[in-house]
Amino acid sequence: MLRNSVTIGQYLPGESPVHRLDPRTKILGVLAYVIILFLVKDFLGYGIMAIITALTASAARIPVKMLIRGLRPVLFIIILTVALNAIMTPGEVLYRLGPLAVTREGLFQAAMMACRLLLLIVTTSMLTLTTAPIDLTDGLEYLMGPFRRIGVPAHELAMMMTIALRFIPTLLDEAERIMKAQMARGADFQSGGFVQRAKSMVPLLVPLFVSAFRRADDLALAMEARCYRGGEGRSRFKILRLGSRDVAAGVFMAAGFAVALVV
Amino acid sequence: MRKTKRLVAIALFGALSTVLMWFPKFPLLPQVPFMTYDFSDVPVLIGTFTLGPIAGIFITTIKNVLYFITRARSGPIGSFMNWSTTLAFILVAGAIYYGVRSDRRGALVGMGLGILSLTFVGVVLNIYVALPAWGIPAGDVRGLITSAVIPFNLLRGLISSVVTFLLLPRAMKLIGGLGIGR
Repeated sequence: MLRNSVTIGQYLPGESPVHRLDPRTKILGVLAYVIILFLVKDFLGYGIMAIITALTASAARIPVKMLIRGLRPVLFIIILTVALNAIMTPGEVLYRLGPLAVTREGLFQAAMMACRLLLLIVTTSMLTLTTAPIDLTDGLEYLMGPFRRIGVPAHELAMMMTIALRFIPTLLDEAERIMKAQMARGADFQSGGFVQRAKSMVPLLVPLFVSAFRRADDLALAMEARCYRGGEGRSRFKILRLGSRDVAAGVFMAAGFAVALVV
Repeated sequence: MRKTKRLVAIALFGALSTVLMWFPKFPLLPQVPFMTYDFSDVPVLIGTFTLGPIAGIFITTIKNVLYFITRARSGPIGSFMNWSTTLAFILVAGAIYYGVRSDRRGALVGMGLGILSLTFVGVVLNIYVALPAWGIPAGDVRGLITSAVIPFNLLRGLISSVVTFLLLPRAMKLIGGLGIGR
């Protein structure tokens, strides 16, 4: 029931050039993209950002349907933003309905905001569509490395995220098992108001916590038995190396961002 | 051994928190269906009270990074807002609990003040970061703050605190059994 509606991650496995980029290149690229997106102020700039997104999406061979589906959760807020902007911006009135007036400037502003939100959501989801979660945590560990000196525990954080990713399916299965066991005893998770449903969560959470603790104990013991002792001097299964592909992607993005900022 | 056990326990709390962030999600206020409540703050609070505030920071960071990686429902803005408001909540709650009174009453007072801090940070960040980033025009920000952001965050903190308070004695006992408490 739960597992069917939830896939772990949005990752679409593939062999495209974008998939094979170093995760660090993709993380930094998306970060720069988001910053530039908020600096760009006109349609020409958004147009160039949209071209960057479209080229990357086609290189990654992501079906357009997937990208559009990712927009569904934010559809409401995009509509709200568009409506508020269209009504609230003072200017030349195009259409009037009672006290509400749609202005030319408002429509322009609304279109700009809609472009920005669409590009923001589509592009950030492209990162998670083309990169496996485990590669992303690996990339984050490398990227946080330089901050170790000021006390950021890069290795520990990445290790915890990797362990957490590994245990998410297990916990989901467990949650489903507990829910079924309690439903068999007459518990009701589906109906009732908010308070009712919140209350019904408590008997679900207790066994989940218990099992999380038990698993933590077992896994810690297993790690200790294999001499895990933190990041210092630990060898890696996968070593990230930047290749010519990453250089090409970097040049492409830098050029695109520069054009978007200048025009 | 203690160090590894703590690391793994924090990771599992993070996993639990991420799972709870996926489902179930309730819209608390009918006028803003995109602001949804989930139980993901509960493991963070319990982790803060049983493993310490540093563990709380880790769990918050894990849940939001993993949520962003795996679902990214509302993109980077939603993840960032959840991360910063949860931190505001647990850091105050943890400070009271560890600095003033380390018992159930301390936890209760800590969470009470934590709700205020959560709401305050939620308001400030919504005014200056989230609502402008979503493109809400400046004239509508004040209305949304009083009609949506403040009630939402107060309710969110209250529900999470009540559930945490009910679960806390059990969790304390479990952590005591593992010998990894703060």
